Amino acid sequence: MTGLLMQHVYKVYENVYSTVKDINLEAKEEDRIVIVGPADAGQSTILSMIAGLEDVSKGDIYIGEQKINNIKPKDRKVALIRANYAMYPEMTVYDNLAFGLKLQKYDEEEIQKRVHEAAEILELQDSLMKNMEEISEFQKQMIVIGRAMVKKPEVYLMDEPFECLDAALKQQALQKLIQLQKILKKPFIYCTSHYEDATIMGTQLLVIKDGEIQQTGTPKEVIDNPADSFVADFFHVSEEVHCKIS
Amino acid sequence: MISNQILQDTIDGIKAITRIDLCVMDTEGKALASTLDAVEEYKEAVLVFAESLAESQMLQGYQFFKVFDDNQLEYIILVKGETDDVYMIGKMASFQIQNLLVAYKERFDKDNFIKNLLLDNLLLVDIYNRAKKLHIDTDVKRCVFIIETKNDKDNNAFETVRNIFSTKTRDFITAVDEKNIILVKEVKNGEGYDELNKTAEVIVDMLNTEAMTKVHVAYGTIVNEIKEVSRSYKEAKMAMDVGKIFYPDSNVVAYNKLGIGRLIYQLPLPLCKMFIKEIFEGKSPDEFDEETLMTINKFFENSLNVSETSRQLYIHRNTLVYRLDKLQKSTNLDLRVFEDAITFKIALMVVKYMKYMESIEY
Repeated sequence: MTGLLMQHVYKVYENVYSTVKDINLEAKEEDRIVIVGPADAGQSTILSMIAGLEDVSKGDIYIGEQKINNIKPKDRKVALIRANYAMYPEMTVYDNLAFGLKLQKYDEEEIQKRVHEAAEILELQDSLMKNMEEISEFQKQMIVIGRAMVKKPEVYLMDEPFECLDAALKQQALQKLIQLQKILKKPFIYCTSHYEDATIMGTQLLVIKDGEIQQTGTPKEVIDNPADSFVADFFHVSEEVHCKIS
Repeated sequence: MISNQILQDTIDGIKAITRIDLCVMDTEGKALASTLDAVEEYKEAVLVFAESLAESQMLQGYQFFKVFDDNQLEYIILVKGETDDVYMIGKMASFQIQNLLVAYKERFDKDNFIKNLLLDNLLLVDIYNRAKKLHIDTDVKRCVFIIETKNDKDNNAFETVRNIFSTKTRDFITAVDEKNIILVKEVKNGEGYDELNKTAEVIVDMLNTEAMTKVHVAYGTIVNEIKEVSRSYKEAKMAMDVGKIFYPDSNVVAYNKLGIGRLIYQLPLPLCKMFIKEIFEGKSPDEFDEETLMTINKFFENSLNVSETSRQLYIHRNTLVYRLDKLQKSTNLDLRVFEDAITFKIALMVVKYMKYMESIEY
């Protein structure tokens, strides 16, 4: 079943600047789609449009059967994870996870259920009553993911979420995400400017430059057959050029 | 005054611990919060107790306690039971609610003080006197952030920011209108503008993800004394306006990084009109079609490189040259010449500024 569908989506500023052009994307529940390209290629704009934080200039976005172009961000059943996060310093792990749901006025029983479910998957059950000084950096990163999970979204959107972690923690977090997606069975749309993360994370890659898709395919397809020299350079693969010398 | 919800949460919590029922009434016998049903029958008794000099009394299986705010009777607490333990619980409940009154009053006072400080409504001597009374340090470095939400009265955004920052007593969060949250943040030793920028990015990302709302954040310069906080606020306001006009793609705008935008923002409108008339001779850049504007922007983006611009526009090099020649005929500016390109770029920025000023006038 298709979780997310983007059809011919554009983002145009002041009727002149197109930062995102003709994006087509289909994500099913087993997909981890990685939108990869240089910084400022338009990845964040695409995620913001799906989340409803930016308006769509042209084109349609669907979650399931529902067109979401004009639906408010809070009502869209998506969860967004970004790199720059903060913990609520005076709250426990439980309250940090629950805060977003309390803002949305969920009842206490539902909040407890969701927080405990997420904590179990993220291995935070034993730390729920701990304060922020008592947990590790990795656990804080798990809280960030947990905040998204408790919303029970249909689509997970991740905008370079591990950018602020060191290399070792980042690898650990990426592996955890892959495991998570198999449990949650919802599409993950992950943006990065690092080709290595893309090849680890993605079941499908969307290579993007200046707001336009250059190539789509599995990591193997993209690396074995880069569509052009940009893709080849970006993924650090050599490109064979066939020519005739006359 | 504190809200009935806070009173209810408090007595619910006490009941959960002690298993004793409580009720909080005002001085007229009206129940504000209760874990009991049918307390109206005690209204008369409460009124009599309120008038009396007694601080507590026992009546019909209940114990009554008084809660004062600045020697003024504020609430009557009823606690079910006649034992000494129940008396102790009642005294502790009354102590708790009294402290809540003081805390909320101090918070309101602090909030009031910060608002007046930002808006320059205080005399210098009053700033220092009131700061001393409210235990607010006057010599700490601070910086003012303005967080503009997309929607009016976004309480979720306010609550999110408040929970990230204000638990540290040296930061203050307030709002002076429906769309803008103000954060007066302490700047620790060793922290500079990089850290402030990071804070702003955290605010943007947290509000995107937790409150699901788009925001713009602007911040002023770091000030060393409390009397200068209003200056940092004004700078943040200006940065927000300049950001909206010239850098609409940026979610974070710093006052100390406004560039040419700062200069243009200070220009008097009549001067701008004269300048535009001189450059465009009565025509407005609004009259340029989309294709021309796209061409100009792409050309500037590519540092006046004709080949790269034509490649990115998917047009032949000659087509681009033709468009630039056409523009030169109508404006007398050859964008391939550096001086003319600067003049044109600045003129476009001045037009944006003028349009913005005209829009806020209406």
